[in-house]
Amino acid sequence: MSDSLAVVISAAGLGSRLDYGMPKCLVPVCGQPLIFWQLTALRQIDPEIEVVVVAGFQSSRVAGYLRQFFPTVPVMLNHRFRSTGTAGSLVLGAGILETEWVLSLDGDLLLDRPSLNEWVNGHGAQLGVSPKTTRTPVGVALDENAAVVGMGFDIEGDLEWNGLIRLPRSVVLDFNDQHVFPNLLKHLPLPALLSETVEIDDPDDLDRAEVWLRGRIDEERGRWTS
Amino acid sequence: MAPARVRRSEDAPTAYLFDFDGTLTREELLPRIAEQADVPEMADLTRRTVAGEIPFRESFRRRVEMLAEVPVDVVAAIVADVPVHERLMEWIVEHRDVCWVVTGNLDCWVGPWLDDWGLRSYTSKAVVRDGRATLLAGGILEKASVLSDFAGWRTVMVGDGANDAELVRDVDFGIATQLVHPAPEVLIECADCIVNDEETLCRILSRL
Repeated sequence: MSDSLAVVISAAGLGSRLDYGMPKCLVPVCGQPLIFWQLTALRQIDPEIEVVVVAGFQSSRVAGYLRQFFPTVPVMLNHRFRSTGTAGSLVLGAGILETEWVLSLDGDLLLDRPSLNEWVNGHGAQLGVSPKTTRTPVGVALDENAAVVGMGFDIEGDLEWNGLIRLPRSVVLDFNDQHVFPNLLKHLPLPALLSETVEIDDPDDLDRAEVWLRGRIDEERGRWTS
Repeated sequence: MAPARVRRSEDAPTAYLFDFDGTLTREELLPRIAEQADVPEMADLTRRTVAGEIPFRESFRRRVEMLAEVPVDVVAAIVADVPVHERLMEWIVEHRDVCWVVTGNLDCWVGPWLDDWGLRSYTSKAVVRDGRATLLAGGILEKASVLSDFAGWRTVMVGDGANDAELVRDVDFGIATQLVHPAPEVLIECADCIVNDEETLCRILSRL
């Protein structure tokens, strides 16, 4: 039996490094806003899955887009987005849910559908790791059982935390409102789940995401947009 | 850091407050009355009010004046036929002991509708003479003022307009709805949550 799970997409930030003048979740990749790809994939994996988007910067634009294209997705508002970290948004989103488990997905992350399927239909706590590609990676240390036993900017190696976590909602609600990863330290070890992801922080990432996503669309013969 | 405002408290009952136009109804009431009662200048006034060119209180007073010649029972009949958000009304009727409608509309216009649904309310006040309404001095409802009646309650407000912003800001959990039109910026600035469809709204209300 599947875990009772809902998804929080944290999309409150300024996206200043990308400098696109709009929330990163609305930046077009392959002709559609980034959040379109996330929500479409989630709906195709589980049409009933509950999703909450947390918005801050230009929240009316995010809400306007969802009203038009994904009206069943509510928006929690993080008015303190300039002074809080992603954990602040995650706690707000989780606060309106009732499921036992929460999957946290950053609004600037693309991952392929098979990986997302593993997150949605998996069991228990998991922490997402990917090959290091970002400029300021949160490195992860794994033990012999593929559990994450350490996280930090000073951890070397090939893997980084990609922002994905699957945790009991009760654990998430106890987070402080700053960055997520320091909140995770006291819950380690957590099972690692390796995913192929593209995080969009700057214009180079956007170019890379375009190529990456185009490849996935071709591979899946248009299923993304079906 | 759980968002305490979201969670139900065991110590305080929750009061659910609802705007009327565009929140419970599928159409804004005054333009509908203006159209059916043949007061064409109302549409322009409504447009300018929504655009923020005229303050709500001033706009409302002018709209009442425009409708002064329309018999109250004609207005009430138009209100009676206004389409509602049926799923939301079902939820409210199920929870009517803890629900209140908070509307700037005149008591004589919406009173029969509210009675039909068995709902308690806060409205603007008018005096009716010869079947016509005249706004009482100080009769325009200041929505935020209703909170003084809910000391000891946990409060939730649901609204869609700029004139709901203060109350949405002051309650424990404020919801901006976009069921009929996009929420105005001032409302979004004050709200905790934005909801776009009835079923989602009812689900969230049941958790608060």
